[in-house]
Parts: sequence; C-alpha cells; structure tokens
Amino acid sequence: MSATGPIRLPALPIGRVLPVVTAPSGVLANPCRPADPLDPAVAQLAADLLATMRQSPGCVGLAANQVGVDLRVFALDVSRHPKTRVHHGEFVLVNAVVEAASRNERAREGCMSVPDFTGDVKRATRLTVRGLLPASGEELTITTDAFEARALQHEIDHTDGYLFLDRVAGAHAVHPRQVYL
Amino acid sequence: MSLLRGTFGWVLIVSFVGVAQAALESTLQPLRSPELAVTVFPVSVPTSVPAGPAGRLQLTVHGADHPGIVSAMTRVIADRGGNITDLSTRLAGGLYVIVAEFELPDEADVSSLDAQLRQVAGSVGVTAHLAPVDSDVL
Repeated sequence: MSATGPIRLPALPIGRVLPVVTAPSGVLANPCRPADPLDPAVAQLAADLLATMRQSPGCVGLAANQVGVDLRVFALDVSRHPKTRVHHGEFVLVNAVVEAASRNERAREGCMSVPDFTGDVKRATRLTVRGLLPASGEELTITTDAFEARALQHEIDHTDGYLFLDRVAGAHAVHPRQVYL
Repeated sequence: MSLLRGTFGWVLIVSFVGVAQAALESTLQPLRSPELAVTVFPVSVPTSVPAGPAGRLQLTVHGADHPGIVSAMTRVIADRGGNITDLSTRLAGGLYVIVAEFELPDEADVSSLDAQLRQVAGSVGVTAHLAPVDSDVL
C-alpha cells in the first residue's frame, strides 16, 4: 500500500524513554538484523523509539540501534521541521529499504549518537521507501521529498550500520557542533 | 588544519610575486615562540598525475581515539601506491574522525583495498568506510 498523508500506526504499548547510545559503539557500526513486525517485543521497541524521540529536543528520527537494539526498526517525525515539505506524520518502519532515489543535494546533518559533530552529506531529495508497520506487519510504500527524504535515508543508514560521518562529502565536511547558549 | 589533543597545526600554500623566501621568513619571525613553531620552505609545482580508473576515493574512519590510527590506515593506502590529496581529523567527546581523500594507480584493486582497510580498522578498534568521491554533479 502506498502511503499518502499521515500514516496511521496500529495500537502500540506504552513507550519508555530509553538512553541513547553515542559513537563509538559497536551496535552503531554493524548492520542490524531484520525484525519480525508481529513480535510483541518489536511493538514495544516501536513504542519506546517514539517515546524517546518525542522526549528529545530537536530529534526527528531514531533508529533501534541508537538505543542499543540491533534490529532494522526506526521512528521518524519531521512534521514540525521548517525544511519539511512532504511528510507522513509520526511513524515507525520495520525492515525499510530504499526503492528509488534521485535529485541529490548537499545539506548539514546531525545525529543524537554523534553529539559533538555535524556533517555535510549529499542525499537524494526524491525518495521511495518500502517497509513494514510494527504490530500489523502491513507493507507500506512511502514516496517523499526534501527533509523527510533525508531523514529516511539517515535512519535507513543506521539500520545498515552507517553513521552520517560515513557519508560526508569531502575531507572538510565534518564540523564541530555549535552550541548556542 | 588540524587540532589534536590541544595542539593546533596547519599548512598554507601561498604564492607571491617579487617576494623572496628570506623576506617572508623575516616577516614571520616575530610570531615564533616556544608555543608556536613557524616553518617556511619552497614548494615545487607538482606534475599533474591523472587519477587511475578508481578515480578519487574517500576514506572515513571513526572510533575511540588512541595513538596509531592515522598511521595504520594511511599505511594501507601508501602500500597500495595511493596518494593522499586531502586529510582532516576531528576529535571531540572521545570520538575521533578522519576523512581522507586519495588517488590510486591504474592497477589498484579497490575491492581488496576496501577489505584490507576494514580489516585494519577493526584491528585498531575503529570503523572505516571507503567510497568514491562525488563529482558534485547534482
């Protein structure tokens, strides 16, 4: 099924706010295992990712291995970001893969698991992703652009064991994160 | 430029018309101190060597900081005849990051280089990722 507009998630358990793993960490550097969307533990994981993401200022996406679980699951919500155009609200995807990507653009990225750096990364701004919803296992295809496309690629990279640092565009594309007091 | 463990260093290539090396040395002399080393030397214009079929490659390395990471990773590139054309390092919060751009000779086997870089990275406790340098054609 192709998703148009905000995705309606199945009912999930109450989520817990979990600590976020920071690099260097082996769980962030290795490809994650496929997950069973119908496993109750995956439904709990989805709820935990949503709760942790909502509790973290500025966080628009969170992958399972960022909370120490090496499964191909991530939560995403770019609906309130100023660079967002098309978006699908708040959702969790299991075993997501990129089906089509085009129109590359370079932009600055950060990550909760790399708190001290940002980086210039070239990513597609037109994207189609296919994945499964937790709890129901329903297959979903999402076509999107701009910031949501970037965020999806960033999170799918996490499930493949990559950080944005592995995608930076050149020897001078890593920057110290600016903290404004 | 680079900042490692509180020590800052950078290399600047400049060209002047009608200014001798000795005059530049004299101008920079007041900057020298026990805390700041300044060195001036002539640089010859290198013969342009076209990159091989592998093109330009980028190696990204990150992990916990400790001595020996740069030497271990750059040794792999050097042993394959690679020429590092740009390199930067960052350290913050215990995470050390290297991004190096380099070129390989025509006969270089990129896939085996990739495998060796990953193996060496693992042996020194870091993560390495090799990718072609984008042409910036969007």
